[in-house]
Amino acid sequence: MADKIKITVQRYRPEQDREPWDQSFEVEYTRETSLLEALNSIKDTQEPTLSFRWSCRMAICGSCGMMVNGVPKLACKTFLRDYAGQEMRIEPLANFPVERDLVVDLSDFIEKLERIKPYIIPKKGESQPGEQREYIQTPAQLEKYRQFSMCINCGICYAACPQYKLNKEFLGPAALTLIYRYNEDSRDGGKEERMKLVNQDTGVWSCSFVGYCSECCPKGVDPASAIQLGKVESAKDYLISMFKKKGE
Amino acid sequence: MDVVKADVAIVGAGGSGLRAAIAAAELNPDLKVALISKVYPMRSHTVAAEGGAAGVVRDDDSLDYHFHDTVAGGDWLCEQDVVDYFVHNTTRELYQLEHWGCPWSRKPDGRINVRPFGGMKVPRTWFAADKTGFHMLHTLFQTSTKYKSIIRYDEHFVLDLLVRDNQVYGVVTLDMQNGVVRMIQAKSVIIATGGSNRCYRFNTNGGIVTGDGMALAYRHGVPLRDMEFVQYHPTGLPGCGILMTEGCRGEGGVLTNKDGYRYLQDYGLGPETPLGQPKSKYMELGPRDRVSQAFWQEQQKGRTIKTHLGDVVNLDLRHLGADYLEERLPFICELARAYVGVDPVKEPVPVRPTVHYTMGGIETNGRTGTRIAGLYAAGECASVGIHGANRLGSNSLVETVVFGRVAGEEAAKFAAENEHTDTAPLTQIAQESLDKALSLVSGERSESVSQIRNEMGDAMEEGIGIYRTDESIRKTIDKLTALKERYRNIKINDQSTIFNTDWLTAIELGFLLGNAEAMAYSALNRTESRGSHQRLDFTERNDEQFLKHSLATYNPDGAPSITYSDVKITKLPPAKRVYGIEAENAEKAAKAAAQNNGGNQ
Amino acid sequence: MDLEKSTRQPYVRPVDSTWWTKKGFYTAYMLREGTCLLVLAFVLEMLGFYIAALTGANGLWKFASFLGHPVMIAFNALVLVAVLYHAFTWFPLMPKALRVIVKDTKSGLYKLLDGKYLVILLFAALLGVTVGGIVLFYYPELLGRLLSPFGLVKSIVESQDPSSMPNGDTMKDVSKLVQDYIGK
Repeated sequence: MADKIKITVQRYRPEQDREPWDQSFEVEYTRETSLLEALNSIKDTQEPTLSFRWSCRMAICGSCGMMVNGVPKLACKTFLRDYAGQEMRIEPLANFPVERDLVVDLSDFIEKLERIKPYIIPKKGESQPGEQREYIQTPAQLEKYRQFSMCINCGICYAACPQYKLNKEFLGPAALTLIYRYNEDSRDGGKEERMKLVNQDTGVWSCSFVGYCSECCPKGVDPASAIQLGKVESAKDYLISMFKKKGE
Repeated sequence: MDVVKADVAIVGAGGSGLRAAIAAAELNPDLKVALISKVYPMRSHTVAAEGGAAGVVRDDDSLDYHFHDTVAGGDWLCEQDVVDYFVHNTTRELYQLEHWGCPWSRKPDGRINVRPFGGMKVPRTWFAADKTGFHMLHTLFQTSTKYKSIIRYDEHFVLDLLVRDNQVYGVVTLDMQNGVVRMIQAKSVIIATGGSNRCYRFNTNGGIVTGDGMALAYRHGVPLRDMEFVQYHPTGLPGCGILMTEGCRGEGGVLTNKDGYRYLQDYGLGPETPLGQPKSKYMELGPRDRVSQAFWQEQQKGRTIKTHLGDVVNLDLRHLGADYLEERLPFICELARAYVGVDPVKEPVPVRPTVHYTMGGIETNGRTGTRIAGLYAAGECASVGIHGANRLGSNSLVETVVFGRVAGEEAAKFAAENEHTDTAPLTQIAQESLDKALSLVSGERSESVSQIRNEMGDAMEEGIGIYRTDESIRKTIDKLTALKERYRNIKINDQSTIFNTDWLTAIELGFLLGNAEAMAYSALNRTESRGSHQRLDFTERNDEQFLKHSLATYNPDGAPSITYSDVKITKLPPAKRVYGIEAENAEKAAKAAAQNNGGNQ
Repeated sequence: MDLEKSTRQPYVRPVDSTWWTKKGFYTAYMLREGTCLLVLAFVLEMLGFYIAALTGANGLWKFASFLGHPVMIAFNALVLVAVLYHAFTWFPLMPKALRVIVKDTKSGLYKLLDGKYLVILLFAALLGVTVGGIVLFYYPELLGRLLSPFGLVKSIVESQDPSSMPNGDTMKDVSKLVQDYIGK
């Protein structure tokens, strides 16, 4: 019961091409065939020089983000059956420089993740639990940030974000979400440090709430929500600092 | 050639590599730690681990129980002193992860929650819903960014180790993004590259799990130990092999055959436990080798279910209810819906055993050191001695942090005690390694990488699967020998230096072929049945001859040589490995005997 | 294959100024943002109304007839549509900015209120009435002040008294006049 579908892939070979070009393939598929499997079969049997990142095949490692008919998706969680009767056009993840074929340069994104101090900064003046004890964190406290800790760093939200398209200085959805995730963690005391990044022009206020990041996020993280909640925090921060100044 | 100097070089940035890097950085902040990975750290396959990590926390649990479960679960092929160290350090490491921000699932009072897992007497598996590996990996990666002395080399493919006079001096890498060779000179090197399960066609693993580190150490003369022990996870999705965590059964899921019968009771795991009341070491909470073997037996009896994706049995979770599934197994629900179109809330999930874990690996001592000075190995790529002939679920995730830390500290100490040698001769070695790798790309050739890879994967499934025979193993060996010959004639179409995945997958295939051979010859020579190594022609365990580790030593001109080394037994002498009611009776008998002894004295 | 020197040459795709027309989601967003222009125009219209009122009955009549022009009626209808569009597209977004943890596990007002717009509307109305009620209870005179501009208009229109109209340059006196009126 194998059907066929036409897949057009945008190619770019830095040593040979000045700009990207299209190459089309015919691929057979069944009900279970994912786009990633289709690309691997193209690589194995039709075009061995086609390059793309992949690993886990189960939507958790975050390697295979790419544009499918203009929408950023994980190739391993995109199924050809959903495009029956259509053609598929595959491009590298939008808004990132293209290194080669479907491989983009993620270094800006990774640097932003690192910049926001994505780790627990112990609270000042509070003793930490010993080696054989945990911080007490109730399910309700866990729930405050749990959803925002589900990001797999695939970069899809950056490809979905028009603000990042226009301004590469914008910290962007995943990094701002990660800030919110740590700020809301009951074990963390680093909020003050991270709020500096949130309050900057390139922080939450660069977001105009398009909301497409949340629409595209393959893990239901809802970065747009984290950013709006970050705006609330930033506004509170601003008010408090005003009063503090008056008090001085 | 671009040359970078570091004190400690770590190859692989999954759970073990990241933990090692942090340990080295914390122990000695003056050391420069190079963390090298062919992918970004969060892509490492630790990310796909679902169920959890074992650590004793409950009042009714004890380190002795964990020790006993692990050693018996490994069919007595474990290094007992190492297991002892392991069980004493699991909980500390898991608390450490908690302090670093890992979102462990909690009890209502805010303390760590645990779930039951296969082969474990008492529930002791820490979990973060069903994305435990994901959360551990991201916690470790994010925490690692705190240390200024850790310098990451992301998307750097390690082509070779720099070894001279039985000491390691660094690695030679290919910077995939820039298309340049970079030699990383180091005083000590840790290999933390994970398993080699891509030797098999159907597996739960990511495409990157190609045993690179094992192959590199192996080629430099470090034996691969116990490679015949390959774990089949009983519950993978048919077709793709994607993992349905053991946590499914830990939470109360059951396995049924085509008649809806819970067949595990026929294979020494019964009697049947009531639905929704999982009992440790009974039925679905048996160890993975036994549960996978039961599938094979059912298949022989024609009691599995035929589908267009092959034979399956049913993993039934429906009685757990939508809310509970959403809380405890959300990822499982997502995966089953996406990849086989089945909603676990409404229908049973079709599953079959798929290759999951390499119990064996680079031979190390209990402190992760290898036979090469300065070279350490930790995690799935290593055989430190805690898994024996069969790993218990949730022991490997915690192994990554327990022994990742040991490796980091040991390597840091070694680096602090040694000086850098001259760079020039090392550059020479690096150039030779590079030339060897480059020789794959040039010349007129015709063989296809994917074809050889697929044929290898199929041959391994057929000959060295859940059950093996002399004949089946020999057939696979012949096939592997032929494939190795064909590999010499492999055709690389891609001549680019930037992200040349055509070339890199060919190098990986070379790694896999060597590792597969080590598995095959180790399996051939072990003429007994133990743990995950089940021979239809030698069905009994043979302690007299084979209470020993197999050591496969590389031979550049042909088959690896197989020798044996002793197993360290400290406090638990070999006994019959039993589960279900048999285990309970055995325990009662042992208690009674102990009481009698006590009374006599 | 030369692996000594990098041949890396990332391709940066140009940003096309019509990017927002290429995807329905972006277009809808731009329309939502675009409604602010109409709202601005409406604010200007209101300002014109104020000024006209201050110039006296004459100006007000003129302004009224200006508003009565079919083009202006159409424009105001468009403003109404735009404001409603803005309001309704905000409804599904609103819960993202609010997070309520219910029973430990169910997270977010979003899940709780998803699709229940009538509930949200009723809640908003109830909130408005309650807050308004409380404020007016304590400051009843506020109502008169809030309505005072309308009172000013009414008095001008009714009196037809030229002396109540400011002389000379109206613009200069606008703020003073309004302040005087509200303050008295």
